[in-house]
Amino acid sequence: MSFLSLENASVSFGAGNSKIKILSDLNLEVKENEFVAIIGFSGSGKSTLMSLLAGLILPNSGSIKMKGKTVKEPGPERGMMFQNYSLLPWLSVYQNIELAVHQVFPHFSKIEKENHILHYLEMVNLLPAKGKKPHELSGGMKQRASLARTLAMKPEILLLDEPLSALDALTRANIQDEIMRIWQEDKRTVVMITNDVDEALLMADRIIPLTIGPEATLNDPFIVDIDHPRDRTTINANRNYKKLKVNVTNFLINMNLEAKKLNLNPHIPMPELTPDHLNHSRSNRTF
Amino acid sequence: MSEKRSDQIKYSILKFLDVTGFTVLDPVIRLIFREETDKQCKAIGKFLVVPILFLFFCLTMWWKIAPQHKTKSGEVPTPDKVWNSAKINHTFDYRETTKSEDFIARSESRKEILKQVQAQIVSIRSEAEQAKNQVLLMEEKFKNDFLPSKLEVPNTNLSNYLTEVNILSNRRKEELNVLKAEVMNGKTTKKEFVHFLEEQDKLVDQEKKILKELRSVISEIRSQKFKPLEKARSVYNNLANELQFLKKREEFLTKSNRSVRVQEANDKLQLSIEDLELATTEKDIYLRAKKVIRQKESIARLEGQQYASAVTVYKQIKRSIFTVLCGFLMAAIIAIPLGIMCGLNKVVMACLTPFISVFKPVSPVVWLLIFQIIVGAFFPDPETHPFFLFFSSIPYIGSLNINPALVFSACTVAICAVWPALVNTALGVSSIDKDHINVARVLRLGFKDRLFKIIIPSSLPYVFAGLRISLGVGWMVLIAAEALSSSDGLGKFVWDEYQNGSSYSFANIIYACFVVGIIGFCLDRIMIVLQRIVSFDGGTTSV
Amino acid sequence: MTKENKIYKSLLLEVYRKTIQALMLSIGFGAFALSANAEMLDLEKDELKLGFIKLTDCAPLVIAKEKGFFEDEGLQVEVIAQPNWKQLLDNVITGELDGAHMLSGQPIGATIGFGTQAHIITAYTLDLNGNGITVSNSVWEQMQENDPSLMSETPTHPITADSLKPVVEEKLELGEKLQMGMVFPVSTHNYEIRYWLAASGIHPGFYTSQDKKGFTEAQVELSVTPPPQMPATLEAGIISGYCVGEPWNQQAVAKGIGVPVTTNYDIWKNNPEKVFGVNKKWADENPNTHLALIKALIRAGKWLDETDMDGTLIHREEACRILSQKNYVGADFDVIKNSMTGFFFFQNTDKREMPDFNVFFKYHCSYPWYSDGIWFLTQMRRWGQITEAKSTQWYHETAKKIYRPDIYLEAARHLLEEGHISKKDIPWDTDGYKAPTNEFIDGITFDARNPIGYLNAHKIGNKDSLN
Ligand SMILES: Nc1ncnc2c1ncn2[C@@H]1O[C@H](COP(=O)(O)OP(=O)(O)OP(=O)(O)O)[C@@H](O)[C@H]1O
Ligand SMILES: [Mg+2]
Repeated sequence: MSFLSLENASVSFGAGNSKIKILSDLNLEVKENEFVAIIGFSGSGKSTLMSLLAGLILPNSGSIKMKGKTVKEPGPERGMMFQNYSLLPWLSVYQNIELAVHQVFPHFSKIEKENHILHYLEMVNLLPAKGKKPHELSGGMKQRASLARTLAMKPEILLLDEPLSALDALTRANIQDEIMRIWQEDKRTVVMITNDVDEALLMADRIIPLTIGPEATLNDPFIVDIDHPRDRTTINANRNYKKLKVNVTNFLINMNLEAKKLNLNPHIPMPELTPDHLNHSRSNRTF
Repeated sequence: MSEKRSDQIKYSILKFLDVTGFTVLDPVIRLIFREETDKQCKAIGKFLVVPILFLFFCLTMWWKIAPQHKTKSGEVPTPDKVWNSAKINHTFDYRETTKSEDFIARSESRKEILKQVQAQIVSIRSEAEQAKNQVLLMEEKFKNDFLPSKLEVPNTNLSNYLTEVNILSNRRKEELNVLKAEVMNGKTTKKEFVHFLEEQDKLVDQEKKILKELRSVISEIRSQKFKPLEKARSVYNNLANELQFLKKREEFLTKSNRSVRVQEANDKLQLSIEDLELATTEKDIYLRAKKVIRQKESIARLEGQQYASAVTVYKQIKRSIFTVLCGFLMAAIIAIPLGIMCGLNKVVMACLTPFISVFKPVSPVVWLLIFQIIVGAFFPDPETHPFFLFFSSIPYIGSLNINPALVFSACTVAICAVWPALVNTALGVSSIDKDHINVARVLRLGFKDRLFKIIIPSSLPYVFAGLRISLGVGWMVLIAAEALSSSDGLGKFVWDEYQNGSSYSFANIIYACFVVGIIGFCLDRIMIVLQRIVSFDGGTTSV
Repeated sequence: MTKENKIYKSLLLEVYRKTIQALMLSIGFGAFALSANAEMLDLEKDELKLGFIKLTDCAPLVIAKEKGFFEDEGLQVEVIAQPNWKQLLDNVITGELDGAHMLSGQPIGATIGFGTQAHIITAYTLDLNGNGITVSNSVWEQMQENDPSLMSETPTHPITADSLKPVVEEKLELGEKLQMGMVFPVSTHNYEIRYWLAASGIHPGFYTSQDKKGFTEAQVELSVTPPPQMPATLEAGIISGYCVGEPWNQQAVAKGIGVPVTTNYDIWKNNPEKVFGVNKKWADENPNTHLALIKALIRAGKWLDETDMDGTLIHREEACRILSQKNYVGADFDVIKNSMTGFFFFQNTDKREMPDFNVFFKYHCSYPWYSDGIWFLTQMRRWGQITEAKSTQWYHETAKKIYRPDIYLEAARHLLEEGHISKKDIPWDTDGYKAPTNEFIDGITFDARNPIGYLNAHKIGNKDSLN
């Protein structure tokens, strides 16, 4: 039995005429202690898929099950790390994590709680900034804080929405290692969205591409059959790795080309844009 | 090392300025710490010196223009007159507090002060004497020199014109007689006669108009102020007031003094006690014992007496601020929970919307009258009502004279201040970021935690923005309410001054205008600081 | 204790007393030494609040406070300005104020239930006269046109409303009514200006059970304006004249916005003006405090009217200085001084001596005369504020319910014992009715014993059958 599964799930936004189907007929099986990476183009619906897995949105049709039970609402056992971090701006980094820890581990003593929080802050290298408010942090720092919060909840399944996109190479590598360690040592299950093929290949057991939306769906996965632990210095030399990288990259390029072709198809209705709209959106951007 | 410390000091000052919204002074601080002096000098020039110069420009304009606009209540007061009235109000307060102190002064210090006061009386009395003579002198001068010299020309003009008019009207009468005769014998037509009469009426009207003008010139001169006389009078009035004050002090230090009176009452009590000793008959003993008891009671009362001093502007300021804070607090207590409910629940919002829309635009005056009636019904006998007894027993607040007028003024403030806070809170709650809610959902926060850990903190900036508006509205409403209900406070101060109609009333009203403005400004600043403290985006608040 | 011992002791006591007295006298507290002999009243309450309206005739209240007469009675009194007569009365009724400077008609109106109903009593009349009728400059010019004798800088007084009548009629022809202001429906001013107008055949309007504004049949409409706002309202052209107390007539002269044409001294010589009113309930609960208040007021009245050998009022200037304080009347000292020191400016050029313009104590005026009450009752009936005819009996009984000479005399007796007043200051043996007088502008005789006869003697106004 799979740990987390989607069965023919589809998600639409809007109502009536403006209803768009973002995700259609998704089927996914994530096994316990598996590391799944999802790749896809921007706007294809990856974050939506994540919200679906977390239970923040419910599928319009089809179902989502965790350990055989239908998911009806979000919960701390499915720790979601939001793409836009979702830190509470009135709380410091420490307090943000504390809020989550307090809720998930109510039985913790004061000292236990503090140690727990400090541990995760240290892991993401944020100890010096623990007293700062989110608006005082850089984008990368926020991302790390958000990650720390999710990790500190010790969820059974980690749903990470581009958790490392804003980080420099070195920090990124460090945190990749940390995530891997947690995954392995604590026997967690991870679903991670990433745009970085290298990262996916380095970390994941399976890489599942999401096709271009609307009506995006999951394609056949690429199985990454390289043994863990993987070493990023030597993995480049792995033949499997090279082959997979070429395959995945080619797949993405093809998908992109197909999408462009599709876009040229006159049957697809184009949004009515007038110069006025253009001006409007442009002026919106400048302000 | 020391440089670092000075930097720390600098940044903490700058932070303070930033939080309090006095960023104008920023360059000054930076200049003091020698940071990019050129740039700071430029900034000071632009944002400090220029506005100050403009202020001075406005003041001088005021100085120049004010005396030219004459109202029936006297000239528009110039800045110095307003300043003067501030001083007068201060003196008044000083006198009242001094009197209160004198009233309760005890023997040692009392005698000391009495000596000083008596010495002052002697010196001021002679000064006042001189000043009075000066006034008489000036009055003479006004009557005998100033007026006649000014009135000479207009008076002769008037009398000349009167004789002229006399001659003209006589001539017209003759003409009229002639014409009447001519009409009778048909030499002139009746139409022409009518025409003639009309012409005459016109002439008479013309003459009347000129006469009126001439007369008004004279009355204008009569009502003109003779500067030296005015000055002499004001000097004398000041001295006479001072003298009167000193005499009252003398009285309060002697026969009206509390300790003196207690002493006297004690002496009398002693006599009564001895009387009681001497009493023989049953009836006498009873009566005299009663008397002793009565005297003891009255001594106890006397010992607790305070001088019933007049309400001065400072007291009124305190009371106004207290009232507005009470009203504001009431508004906040009502508005914030209601606003949260509205923001959370669309049904509640729908239920309350009609009330909000209908009552929000109602004028404070209407509310005042309504509350005056309602509050009056709650406290049929305010003197002994536990509510007021409770408030009077609180040390500092008790001295503010809590009465129904204060209660309904505060209620009026509250009802007018409730709306901005309510609407803003509802807006703040309903516009909470979806992501924050998602966090709460993922964490499965319960309702209470969700409310206190997510919803309220996230809407606090809105709430405080609303409260800030509320306080501003409340302060404006309060002044009007006090003026109307004559509940002691700045509003009543303004109204009383308007009613006094003395030569200083106008200046006092303008003085009050500044006082009200400055206090309003301070209240607003306090709210800005609070708002800044709860706002988490680090953005600036509009000033 | 032996007999000798007792005598010895009482002798000692006597000596002791004497020394204290001598001591006090030597320090210069003559007045106090005298009162030291007397009993201090057993006060029920010693911290009081009294209300007043910013008019110079509140003087006895202010003087009693500032000259320490209240303190001599052991009272600490706050004297608080009230915004208008209605609120003042309301505050007395609710108990916010212990007593107040009131219009003579207020205790009467309240007691008989015209306006707010409450039993208010008075044991002290604050003053006589002190009101004036002022018209706007333009009305004055028209009056001058109608009566050229008024052109003079010092026209002869009394000026009647005869010259105003054509102005009123002219307006009526245009379908307008002349608007004038008075201070309160039951104020002396209302009755005085009505009397003045009616004496010249101008109908000032009836009150009826429906018409509480008193506009029925009116040729001139009289509306209520608080005294301090009179000049401003006149200046704004909302009214063309008003009847009000001082300093608001002199203020009009000082500001050049109107001309006082007559004073109530000319309308009814030495007419009662303001009284000191308290709630009956309050008076019953605090009899000694009330007595102490009246004592202090009598002394204040006497102080205000004290004269030297030549008959000049010696304390008035000081009184004016006190009254000009901003917490009291607050008008300029020089403006208040005019009328209070016995002068009245009718125009800038027409300053007259009016020694009796403000009487606070002379002519036994502070005594609460029943006949005063009856005069006001007749006026209330005359203009329909009392809607139905009443018996002579009723007039007497009502007056006796409100005017309380018993309290006044009791207070006076204490003062006499203490030596603050002399025997001739008080009409000890009167039955409370002043002798009939015809010193009115229209010469009609007022005999308080025959109120209905007086009522019927007027041309304009309600008339009742005698029974
Ligand atoms: N609440 C919503 N209402 C309507 N449309 C939405 C909503 N959320 C997302 N969409 C649409 O769904 C599509 C997928 O959005 P989503 O955020 O899942 O993309 P993404 O794959 O995560 O892109 P990126 O890589 O840039 O994060 C987008 O076209 C977006 O416009
Ligand atoms: Mg996304």
